[in-house]
Amino acid sequence: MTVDLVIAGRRIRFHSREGLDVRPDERFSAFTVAAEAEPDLIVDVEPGSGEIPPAAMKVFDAQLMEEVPGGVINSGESFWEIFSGGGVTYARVFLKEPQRTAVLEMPHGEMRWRIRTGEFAISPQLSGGKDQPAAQFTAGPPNTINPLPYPLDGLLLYFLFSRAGDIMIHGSGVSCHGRGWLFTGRSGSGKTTLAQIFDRAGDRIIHDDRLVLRREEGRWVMHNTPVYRNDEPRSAPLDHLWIIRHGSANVSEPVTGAEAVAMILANCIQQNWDREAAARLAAAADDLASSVRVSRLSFLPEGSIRDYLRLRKEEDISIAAGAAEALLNAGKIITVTAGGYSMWPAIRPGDKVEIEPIGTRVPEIGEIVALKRDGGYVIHRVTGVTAGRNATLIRTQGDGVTREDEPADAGMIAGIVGSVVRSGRQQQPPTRHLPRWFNRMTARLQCWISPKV
Amino acid sequence: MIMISLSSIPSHSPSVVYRRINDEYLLIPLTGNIADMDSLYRLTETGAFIWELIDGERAISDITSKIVEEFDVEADIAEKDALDFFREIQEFLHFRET
Repeated sequence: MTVDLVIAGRRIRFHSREGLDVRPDERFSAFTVAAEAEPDLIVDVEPGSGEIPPAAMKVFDAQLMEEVPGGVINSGESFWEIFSGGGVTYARVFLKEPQRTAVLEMPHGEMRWRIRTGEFAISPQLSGGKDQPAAQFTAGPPNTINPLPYPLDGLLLYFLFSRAGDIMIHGSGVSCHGRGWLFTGRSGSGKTTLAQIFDRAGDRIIHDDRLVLRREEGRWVMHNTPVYRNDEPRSAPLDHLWIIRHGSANVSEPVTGAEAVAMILANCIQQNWDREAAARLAAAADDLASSVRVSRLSFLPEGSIRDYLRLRKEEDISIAAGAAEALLNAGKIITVTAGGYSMWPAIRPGDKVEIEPIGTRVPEIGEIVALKRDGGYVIHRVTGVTAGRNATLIRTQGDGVTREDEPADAGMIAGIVGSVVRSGRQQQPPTRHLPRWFNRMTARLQCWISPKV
Repeated sequence: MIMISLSSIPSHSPSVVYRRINDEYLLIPLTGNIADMDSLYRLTETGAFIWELIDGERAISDITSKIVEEFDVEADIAEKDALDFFREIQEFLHFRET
């Protein structure tokens, strides 16, 4: 008896001996396919409790975490364990109702694994040996076994995807107007909230909990995995990954290089005991950060975040911003055209704003700076500078808005406003005009770049 | 507490995975647990320069000499900064004395 599941594009074939039905629970129904193509992984499924050789060493131990009002606590009970030895990795899970253990055996370098489900066979001849207790129970109908009792399913998928160089990540994935966006972050950062906002707007939710990212035909694609009862296979090419947190405004800031890779890794599902797996994951995260845009996102939990992200995705603006940054880095002055009212009346829509390189200098309170944002710059005034041991935080705010921006580190300052040209007349950056009654959302500046030698 | 001095010879710990990303290094400790941002370490360009000089043979004083050759820095400042650096990332290193 065989059953094929295709999850995140990888085919897993469960195989059992004659007369014993392999029946994954209903979470997997929509992922079950006809056994046509060659599988990526074959898993022999047998009843009974598997044994872990005494020589195998325990390398990972997960305790059962229980949700209680106000948070999650460690129950102190074993949930699952990983052992390694003799060229085999073993995953043992502790199941309840009835209490039993199931074991997944994964020989290194082989794609034929074995699961002992912890269920006892209904008849002695199927029990796998006369020393096995017979006719005890099966969790499902007679002569059936569930190959993937929770949490064994997640562990099998983790090892399958990890060994293939894929990434499993906590997050919400959405497809919005043909663009694949992934929001990842710590527990409570707003992943589910964002999925709900996009869901209400009619966008396609890939998943709101756990995703697999795979490089396929030169691009990264996000897939869901079976978690909930009504899950069905969903996927979308990935355009942009955000590391999210709740904030006082919608602000997206690009992150690159080692910082981007670190932020991705911090949200991946991983077991950091295996050097090869850790190195493989770091390589995959590096490739992901090089191929897909990565940003830090503070957001308001309301529909405005969707509009904000949709509007800032104009490719030409992003390219212009990249060119502007290159010019500033080369020591040149650039001119941008103001497009919003956030600095009104000091800077008005249509004003030509000259931005000078700032180099390593820290801006002073009162100066107007260009902050790097996805798709362009925001030009706001410095309201505070806090020097820490490892970083300097810059606080900024538009003259015409009532809220401060999210604090930025000094590296997010692209340049400093040297002068403003209005109606053909050049003037120094004006000092602040009060009162700040003109309350508009922060506006991005459209970049029309003219390098000044 | 490990005493780290200029005569200490550092080597990379087998309990860390490191990856060069552009001019920086990302250090990932093999903790036997789920990683988080607090456990990851990023070395900037200067830190990456030092990291690549760590070979289990050179003492910190040798590495400091290389820093002085490469960067515009006085020897005494380089020594102090190098010792601070090694103390900060000591969990990713093993040390022996000459």
